[in-house]
Amino acid sequence: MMARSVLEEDEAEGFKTGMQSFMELKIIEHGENEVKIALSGVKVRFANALRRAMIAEVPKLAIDEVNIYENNSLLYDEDLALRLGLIPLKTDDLSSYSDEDRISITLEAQSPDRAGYTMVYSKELISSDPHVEPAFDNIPIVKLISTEREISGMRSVAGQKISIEAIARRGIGKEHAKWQPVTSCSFKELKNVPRKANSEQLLFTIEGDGSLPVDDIVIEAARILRDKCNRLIEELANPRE
Amino acid sequence: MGYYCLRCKRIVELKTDYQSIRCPYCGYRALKKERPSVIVKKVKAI
Repeated sequence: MMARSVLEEDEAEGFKTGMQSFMELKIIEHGENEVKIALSGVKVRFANALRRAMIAEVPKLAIDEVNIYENNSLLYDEDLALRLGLIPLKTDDLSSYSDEDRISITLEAQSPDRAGYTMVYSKELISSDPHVEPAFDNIPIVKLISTEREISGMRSVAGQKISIEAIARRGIGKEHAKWQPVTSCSFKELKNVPRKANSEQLLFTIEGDGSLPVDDIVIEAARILRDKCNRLIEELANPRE
Repeated sequence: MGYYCLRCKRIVELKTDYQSIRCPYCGYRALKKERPSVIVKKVKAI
């Protein structure tokens, strides 16, 4: 019963209720993909733990592997794969996907029949899962160019084409930045606000990349922190031999 | 080595001691090396 010496049950309960009454949270601004929260009654280290959990631990879907059937565009296969990996994918319910689930997304495009170019955007990605789609339609992927030339009266057009299959899976930002659900997640201390003793007034700015609702990112990060603390208490209460 | 005839589309085996390049079935002299129609390259998106 090592945990008892660390945190007694009623002491833990008091800690929880104390936190609830002490911590104050006020939503300053709430946009579609951005939220600003004034947080008081907590230490900077708690806010930083929450920030880091949002960046590195909240899972989302992203393209992880790309099968290239054809690519004679100006981009190398690896560059094309990287660009696809960074496209945020949104879904209705992320909890219904496990780490083993794979979603196939195909993309086929070619340059025009005459001289000119076609810009391929994220809206052209076709997902095998109707619940998974790019968060934004207007993310440019690649430019496909057709060139025309005339040799002794005959015209020939050299075109470009891509044909690929991308495999998306669930991951976390700790593994790769493409699985970060936030583009910007920071807090700063508000200096000119009267503050309670032993605590700071913090302004949290969280900007999502569109793959998850910004509220869900904060909730999920808090849940992850709570689960880690619970696991720690459990492990201490029942140490393994 | 696997080749196919451009006229009759039949697979032609070329021997090392051949005298001339010619399809043994139709006599056509244009042969093309067989390649898989689709080569899939697998790339990690990182």
